[in-house]
Amino acid sequence: MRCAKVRKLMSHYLDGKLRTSEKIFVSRHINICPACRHELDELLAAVKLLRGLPEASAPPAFWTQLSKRLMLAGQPKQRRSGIAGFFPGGRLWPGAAVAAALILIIGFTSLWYGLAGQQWRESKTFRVARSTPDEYGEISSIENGKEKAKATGAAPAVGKEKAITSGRQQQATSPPSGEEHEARQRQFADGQQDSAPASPTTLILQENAGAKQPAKIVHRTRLDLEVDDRDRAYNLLFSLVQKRGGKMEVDTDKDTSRLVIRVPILQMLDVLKEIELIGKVSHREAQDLDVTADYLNIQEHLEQLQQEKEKLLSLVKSSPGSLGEEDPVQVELKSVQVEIEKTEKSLKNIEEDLSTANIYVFLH
Amino acid sequence: MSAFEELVRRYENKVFTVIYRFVGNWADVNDLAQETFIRVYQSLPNFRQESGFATWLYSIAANICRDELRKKRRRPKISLDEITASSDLLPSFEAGPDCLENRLEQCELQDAVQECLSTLPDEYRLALVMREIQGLSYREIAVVLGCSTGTVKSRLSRARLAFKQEVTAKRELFQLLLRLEDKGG
Repeated sequence: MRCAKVRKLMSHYLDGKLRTSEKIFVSRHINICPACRHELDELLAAVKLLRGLPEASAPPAFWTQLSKRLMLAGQPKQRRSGIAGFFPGGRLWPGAAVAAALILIIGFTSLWYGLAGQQWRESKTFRVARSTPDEYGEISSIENGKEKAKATGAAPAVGKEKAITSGRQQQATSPPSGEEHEARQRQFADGQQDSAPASPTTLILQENAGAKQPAKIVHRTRLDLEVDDRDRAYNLLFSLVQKRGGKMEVDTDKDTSRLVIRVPILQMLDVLKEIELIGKVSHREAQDLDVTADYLNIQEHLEQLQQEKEKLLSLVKSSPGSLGEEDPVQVELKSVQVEIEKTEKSLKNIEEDLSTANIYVFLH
Repeated sequence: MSAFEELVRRYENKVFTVIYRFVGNWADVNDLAQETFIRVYQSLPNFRQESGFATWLYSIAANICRDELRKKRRRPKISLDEITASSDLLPSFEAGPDCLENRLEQCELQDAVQECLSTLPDEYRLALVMREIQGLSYREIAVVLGCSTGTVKSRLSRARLAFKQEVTAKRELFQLLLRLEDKGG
C-alpha cells in the first residue's frame, strides 16, 4: 500500500514538487524499503540518460535555405478580421459564398412561409433564422470556419464566437469542448493572442536585456576584523546598523564575536566601507548566490497549491453533505492550506534575502 | 544580419533538438524546422508575448511535428528518396573533447536512448523532451502541450515510468552508462 503511494509520488519527488509532508513520507519510506529505493534509482538513472542527450546542431546552410523559402512564403500575416478571416488567403471561396447565399434564401423563405414548426423554432436553426441578416452571416461564417478548422487544422475565431453567443442561453457557462480547446491551442500556436504584438527586434532586445527572467541574486559578504576592544566595536556596529535601517544578530564566545548584519541592498557598499573603518580587515570574501531556480520553483509550487485549494473549495461548495472535520476533502484542504503558508513563508524569506545584503562580521 | 535571422540563429539548434527527439528521424528534421520558422515568421505580428518566445516557438514546432506524424501514420510507405536521404543525413551534434572510443560509446548510448524514447506515445515523448531535454517548467510545458499543469504532472509521471521500463528492458544501456561515468569521473 505504502509502496504504491510512494511510487506514484516518485516523479514529483525527483522534481522537488512535493509538499513537505509528502517529501518526508517518501524519503522515510525509501530509506527503509530497498525495493522502492531501487525503483527510484532506476527512475533517476533513466531520467539522467535523457538529460545527458546532446543538443542537435542545425546545418551551417540552414539560414540560407530558410531565407529562400521565406522569400517565397511572402510577408508576415496580420490576423484577419471579419468573415474573410475564416478563409485561407482572406478570400471567401466562391463555393462557400454560393452555399451561404442559398442557406440565407432558404432560411428567410422558411420563416416567411411559416414552414418551421414548434420544434424547429426551438432548434439552433430557428436561432439563426430569427437573427438579423448581419448576425446570420457572422454565425454561419463562424460555423463554416469551425468546420474548416476541423478539416484543415486552422483556428476559428473563438473569441468572436463567444461574443456572438453571449447574451443567449446557449452554453453560456459550460466549459470549452475538446474541439474548442484544441482550436484555442492551435490559435495560440498560430500566434494569435490578444495583447501587444511582437517583432524580431523587440524579442532580441528583450532577451539581451534579460527582460523575461532577470536572475535572482543573493549577496553575502564575510569580513574578519582585528579590533582592540570588541565591546566598543560591537557598539559602533550596532549604532551603524540602526542608522542604516538594518538588523543585527550576535553570537559571542571567548575569542570571537560573530555578527550577522542585514541592511537594505542599496546601502551595502556604504555600510561595508564604514565597517572596514572599525578595525583592521584580515579577511574579506564576497559571494553571490544565484537563487533564480529555487525562487521560480517555489513560486510555481505555490501556484499549484493555490490551484489545488481552488479545486478543493469548489468540491466543498458542490457537495452539500459535508462530514465536517472528518470530511477527507476538508482534511486535504487543511493540509494544502498549511503547505501554502509554509511555501509563502519560504518565498518571503527568499524575497527578503534578495532585498537585503547579508554581511557576516567576525570580530577578533 | 536581419533581426529575424538573429532570432533563427539563436533558436535553430534548440528547434532541431526538439524536432529530432520528438520525431526521431533526422531526415525530416531540416524540413520541419524550416516549416516551424516560416510559421513563426508569418505569425510573429500576432504573437502577443503572453508566454515566453521559446515556449511559443516550441508549441509551433510541436504542432507541426504532430501533423507530420499523423500524416506518416496515414501513409506509412517509405519512398526510395526517403531511404536515400535518411542514410545520407546523420544527426549532427556538438562533439566533445573525448577520445574516439569514448565518442563511439557515447553515440551508441545516445542512439539507444533515442530508440527507447521513440517507442513511447507522442504526448509522453513530447512531455519528456520539453522537461528533460529543454528544461521547461510545468507551466511552460502546459502551454506547449495545451493542457493544465495537473495534466502535465500526471503525464510526465507516466511518461517517465514508461521510459524507465523501456530502458530497464535494455540492461546493456545502464552498463554502458556506468562504464562511461567511470571513465569520466
